[in-house]
Amino acid sequence: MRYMRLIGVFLLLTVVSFAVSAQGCRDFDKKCPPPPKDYKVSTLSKSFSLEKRKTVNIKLTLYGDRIYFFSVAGKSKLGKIHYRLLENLETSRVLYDNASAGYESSKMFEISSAINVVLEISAPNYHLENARECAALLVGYKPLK
Amino acid sequence: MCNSQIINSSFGKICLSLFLGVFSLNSFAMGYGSSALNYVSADSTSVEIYSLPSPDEIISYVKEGNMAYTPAILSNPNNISRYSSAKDQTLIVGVFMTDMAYNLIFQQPAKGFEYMKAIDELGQAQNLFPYLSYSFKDRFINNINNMDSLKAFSDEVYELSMFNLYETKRYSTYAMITLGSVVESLYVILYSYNKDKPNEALMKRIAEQESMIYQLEEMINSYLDPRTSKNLLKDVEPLISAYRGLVGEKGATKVIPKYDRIVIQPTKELNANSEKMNNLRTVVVELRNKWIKD
Repeated sequence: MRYMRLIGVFLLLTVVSFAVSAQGCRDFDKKCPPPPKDYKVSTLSKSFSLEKRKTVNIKLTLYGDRIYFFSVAGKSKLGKIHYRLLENLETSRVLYDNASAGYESSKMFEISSAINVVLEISAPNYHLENARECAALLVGYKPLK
Repeated sequence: MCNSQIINSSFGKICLSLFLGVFSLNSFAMGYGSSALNYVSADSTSVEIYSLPSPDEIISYVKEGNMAYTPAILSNPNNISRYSSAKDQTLIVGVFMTDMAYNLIFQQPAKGFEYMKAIDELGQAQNLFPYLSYSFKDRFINNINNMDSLKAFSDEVYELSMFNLYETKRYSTYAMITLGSVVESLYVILYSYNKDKPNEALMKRIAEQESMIYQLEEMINSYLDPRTSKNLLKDVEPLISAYRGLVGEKGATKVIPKYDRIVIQPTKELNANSEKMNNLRTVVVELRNKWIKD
């Protein structure tokens, strides 16, 4: 009987651990600074985990005649969130680097015609080994005119 | 319950080992293991996430160029039993997500609900929405008179499926749903283009989907195993070819700081015309006909 209860707890813990890890960082993008009220939140927004020496590259398609609002956030343990907007990964041409503006968490980009870009995100001051923390990118947009 | 006496017993040790073993397997399966998408060097890891516009965002973008509502061209959400394989079901979920978004954009909630029901049923068959704490159908019905909420819900369904699939490393399903939704989006926007009444604004918006098509091609190569991606790209290649040349690059992208923002100006040249639009529509219809079982 005692062992049966132990097996029950074991199965419960297994299911719970599975569910918790699957939920992961879901909806963490809601913790990013919100866009101004006339912007619509885009499904390009993404939540993910960061760790020491890990870079997340989000490959985005942005449409023309629009102003995009980007903002980032991470669990406080991660420290500063560094992001760079790259033209692509091959040339790594930097279109914007938030390190040049004191790691500001949000920025607007006016796009004149459709373009693919890469948003590279990392937590340069995070030093814990084998530990992951949630972070996110929030994207908002509105027509240029 | 798990006191030291139990843990120190042989059975307890086996139990603990089993739990730790399953937990580590969970962690691996749920995104904490290595992955084909993780590029690891000696001292760093790089992870790539593809984020393409949702059907609502694709269609809304083109609708700004004056797009007409033509429901007769949409797929049939009432014969999902014809889609039996996992590939067929995931592709058609993407198609239905687009058709639902299309109906909601044109304020047709009753029609949108038919697609919602089909997505819900196929989503359960393919386990696309695990850990969901609410019913899609109830949520839809509760907001039936609020179009803004329904449109937001349409985006949420797309976002939720993408998030779950990415977190559980089901990259091929992620790519299939995206492919289905993108091709159906192109299909509905191309049908709204009337060759007898050329509309420059609409043509430009359709041609600009070129960026997304290249992103999609890259995603298929990255997310699918070589054999599957080769077969799928064989089907998609005519679409990629039709898009090649619609928009030409004239030079390097300009970056100009301006007040509170950065202006990014790709130097692109529109080479589209009615003939190329018609060719594109033929290619998209042929590709779609391979998947649709109406």
